Amino acid sequence: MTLAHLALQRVVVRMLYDAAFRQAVYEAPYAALAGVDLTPEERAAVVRPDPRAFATDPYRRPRALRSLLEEYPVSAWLAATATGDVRTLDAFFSSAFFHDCIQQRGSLAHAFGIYLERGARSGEIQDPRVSWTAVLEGAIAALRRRRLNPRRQLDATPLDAAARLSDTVDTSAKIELSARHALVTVAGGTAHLFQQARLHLANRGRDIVQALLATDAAPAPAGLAHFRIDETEPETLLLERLPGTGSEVTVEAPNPGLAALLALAVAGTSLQALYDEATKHDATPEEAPDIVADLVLDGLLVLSPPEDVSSVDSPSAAED
Amino acid sequence: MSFRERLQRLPVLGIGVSTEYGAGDAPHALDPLALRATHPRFAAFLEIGIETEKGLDAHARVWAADGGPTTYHFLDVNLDDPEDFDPDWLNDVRDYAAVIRPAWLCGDAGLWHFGKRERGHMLLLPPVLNDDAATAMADGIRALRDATGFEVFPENPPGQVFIGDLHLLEFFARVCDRADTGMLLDCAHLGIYQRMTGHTPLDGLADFPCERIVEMHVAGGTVRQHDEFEFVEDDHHTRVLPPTWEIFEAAAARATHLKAVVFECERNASERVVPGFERIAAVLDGAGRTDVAGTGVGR
Repeated sequence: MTLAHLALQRVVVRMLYDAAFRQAVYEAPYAALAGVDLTPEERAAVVRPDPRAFATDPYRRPRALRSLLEEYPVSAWLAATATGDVRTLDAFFSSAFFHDCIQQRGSLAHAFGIYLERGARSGEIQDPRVSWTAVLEGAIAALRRRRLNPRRQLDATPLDAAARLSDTVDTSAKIELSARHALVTVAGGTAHLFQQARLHLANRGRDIVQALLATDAAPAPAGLAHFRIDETEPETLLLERLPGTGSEVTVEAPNPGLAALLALAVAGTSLQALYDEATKHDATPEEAPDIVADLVLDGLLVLSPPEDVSSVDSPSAAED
Repeated sequence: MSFRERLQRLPVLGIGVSTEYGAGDAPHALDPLALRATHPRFAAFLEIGIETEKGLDAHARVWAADGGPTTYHFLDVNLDDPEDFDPDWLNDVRDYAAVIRPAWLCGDAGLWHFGKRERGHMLLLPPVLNDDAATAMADGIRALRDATGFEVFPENPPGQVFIGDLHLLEFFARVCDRADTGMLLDCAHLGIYQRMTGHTPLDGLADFPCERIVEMHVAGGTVRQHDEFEFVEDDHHTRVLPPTWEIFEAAAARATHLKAVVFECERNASERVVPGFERIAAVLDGAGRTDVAGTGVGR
C-alpha cells in the first residue's frame, strides 16, 4: 500500500481553489504537476472529470479567506489600506504559498502569515508594517492552535508548583515557559500598532471580519497611519492564551528583565540559571528565588517540562 | 471476532434524526426532543455530528443526558491519512463518546480537512477511488476501531469531483472487506455520484455486498446550475430526489443487517419533515424491516 492517493487528493484540492492552476493542469498536466509524484495514470485521472465540476462552489475561496481574516485582522486591514480592498488578499489562493501548503500538508493559517510577511517585505503589499504584524498574528495563531494538556498538573496548579519550588533545594531543577504562553520578537512599535488597530476594528462592530469586508473599512484613520515601527529596536512580546474553552490570546510587552528570564525558560533551563539571569537585571541574589517563584505562582513558568515549543519568532517558526 | 459476530452485539436503532453543533439553534430547525415527543418512531435515535474542536452543543448533551440512543458521526478525520489519528484527537473522541454513549461511530469517509486538523476547513471531498486509497481507508477504520472500542462505519461522501478508476460502490466494497466492517450507505450521496459519473441510480448495487450495510441515510437535494453545468447540492432539504428513493428502496430490500436509518433534515421545521419519515417507514415495512421501521419486531 502506498500513500500516493494523498498526493493526488491534494492536487484536487489545489484545483478546486485555483481556477488558473486548474486550467493549466487540464491544458498540460505534466508541466503543471511537475514536482508532484504522480503516475501517468493518476495525471490522466485528474483531468477526466468535466472541469466545470471543480467550480460549482463559487464561495469556496471567500469562505476560506474569511477564516484567515479572523486570524490576521490587523495585517489584512493594513494590507487592504494599501491595496484599497481586503478582497485582493484572495490572491493568496493562487500563490505558491497556498499550493505548497496544500501539497506538503501544511497549516493554512501559517502559510497565509508567510504570504503576508513576504508580500510586505517584497513590496507587493505596500505597507512594510504588515511584515511585522503578520509575525505577531502568526504567533498568536500558533499559540491558539497549541494543544494544552489539561492533565499537566503543574501547569494547571501554579500554587502547588510555587510551594514545591520554595522547598526545592536542588537549583538544577528544570523550569520552562508554560505551554499557555509564548514569546515573539518583532520590530519596535509593532505591539502598539497592533493594539490600536485592533481597537479601531473592534469599534467598527462586533464582527471584526465583517468590519474588514465593509467597503468603507479600508481607509486607516490618520492617527494610525503615523504609527511607525523600528526594526533597529526589536521588542519581545509575551503572548498568553487565556484559560477556558475559547482561544483568546492577550499580548503584552514585558520589561526587559522579565523578557530575558522568560526567553531563557523557553527552551528549558535550570533554576540556578534563572537566578543568575535575574541578578543581571538588578535583582539581589536573595531576591532572585522569590522573583522566579512569583513567575511560577503566576503560571508563567512550570516545573515539569511542557511538550510544546514555546517560542515563536516569526511565522516561519510559528508552525505548531 | 468477525464482523458478523460483532454485528450481533449492535442494537437495532430504528429511524432517527441527525444534528451537529449549532444546527438546533438555526431558525425553524428541527427539535429532536420535540419530534421524539410527537413522533417517537421517527426520532428513535440521534446521530450527533461531532467536530472535536467544537464539541457537543446543548441539544446533543440534553439528548444524551436523557438517555436517548445515539450514534457518533465524526466530522473531522481523514480516514485514509495515517497522520490524522493523533493521540489528542483520539482522546477527544473517547471523551465525547463517553458522554453520548453511541451505538457506533460513523461518518463520511472523505477529506474533511487539508493539512493538519484545523478549524474552518469543513471541506469534505470524496476519497480518491483507487485500490491504494481503499487499503489506506480500511487501515484507518481498523485503527479507529481499535483505539476507541467502537464499530466504525464509513459513509460514502457527497461531491462533484470524483477521481479514480473504481466505481464508488466497488471502492467501498473493498474498504468494508479489508476493514471487515459495515457500511453507512448515504442514498443521496450515491445518487449524486451516479449522476455525476453518468451512471443510472442503481448501477453497481447488484454487485455490492448489501449485507454490509448497517445504516442508511436519506436526504433531500437541490438540482443547481453553474456555468451551464448541472449538479445536485446535498442541502438536506425535505425534497428527496427520485434517484435517492430508488436507491433506498433497492438497498433496503437487500440490506439484511440494516439497523438504522437517518432522515437528514436537521434544518427543517418538524411539520415539513414528517412526510419524509413516513415514506422511509413505509419502504422499510415493505422490505420486511418492521424492526427498523419501528412497527414490529422484523425478521
